[in-house]
Amino acid sequence: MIYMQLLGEFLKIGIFAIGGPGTMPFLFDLAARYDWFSLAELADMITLAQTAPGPFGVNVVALAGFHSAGLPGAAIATAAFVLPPTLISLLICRFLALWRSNRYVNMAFSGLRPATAGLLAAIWLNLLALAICGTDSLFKATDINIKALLFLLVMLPLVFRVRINPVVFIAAGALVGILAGL
Amino acid sequence: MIKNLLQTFWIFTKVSLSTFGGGYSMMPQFQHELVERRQWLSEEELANFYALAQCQPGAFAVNTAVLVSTSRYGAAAGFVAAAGIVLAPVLFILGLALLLNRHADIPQIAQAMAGIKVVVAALVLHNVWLFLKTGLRNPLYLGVFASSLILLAFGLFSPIIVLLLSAAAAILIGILRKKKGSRP
Repeated sequence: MIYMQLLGEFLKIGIFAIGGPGTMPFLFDLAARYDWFSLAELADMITLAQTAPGPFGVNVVALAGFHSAGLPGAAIATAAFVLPPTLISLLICRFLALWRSNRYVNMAFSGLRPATAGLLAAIWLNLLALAICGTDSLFKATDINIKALLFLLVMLPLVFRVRINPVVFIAAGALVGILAGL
Repeated sequence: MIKNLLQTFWIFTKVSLSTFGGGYSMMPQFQHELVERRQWLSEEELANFYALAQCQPGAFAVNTAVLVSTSRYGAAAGFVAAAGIVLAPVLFILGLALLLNRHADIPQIAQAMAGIKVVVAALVLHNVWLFLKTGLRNPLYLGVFASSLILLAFGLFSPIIVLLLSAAAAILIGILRKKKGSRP
């Protein structure tokens, strides 16, 4: 039953994903374990989620649910993703002082944050391969899209140095993609 | 009561729809709506909620909205705030996905997506860096970062196992350090 599977998987993501981008390693994991969507399709969803308004994590989860099982899938995935953190927030509000000063909570997060960064770095290698080589892994890459690689080399310093709304970069990406015929 | 809930829903729908690029880019809108316009809370209080929102799982924007609304109008407002921040963008993006599917044969759409994909690769690398730079001087941070990267990149463990191992390792090291530090 796909709806139950979706519910279980996205509840897990809701409990364990730190921040919106933290959902991506889990979705890569889902792409590997189920035939709901491929890595290439996931890259398209990530692209679209970055392009649309709203929280990135919510957007990409809704798209993943939609791709897996249509509108009910989107509703289940989004609700399951949002519910655990919402309940945790309600609890935190009640026990505010306890949570903030709790030694073990702080220790756990001192491990969870770098781990999330490491997971993101790992899936970045997949995103890079999909953007530059058109395959989902650098090991499988047979050729490189030189235009895309050059564009990336131009974008990296801009993204790191220029502090503007990312939607400007997204719009530039769409424009360059069409003009250069990527 | 109902009026407060409706107001909460509307505020977060508006904030959510008017920001692009993920949770952290909502910070100026939160500040504008909650501190300046509605005067729900002070800037310092909002900063405290930001810190809390980062110390829990889930999307940053959703967490902030729920925390602020719950402390203002109670648990029901927390749920309403979550619904407000989620509902409109989800409907928007599903509509967008349907539209793009219907016009998948237009070559410009595929080209634009290819261009945005390159930008997303740059943005995600920047995201990794934003995480990483807070722990550059901390060997524990760098160690957990490197081992998580390797464990996932080579497909040795699933993300949940990596996160659980990392949290357990950090707690263990924290306890050991505490013991060492408490010795005379």
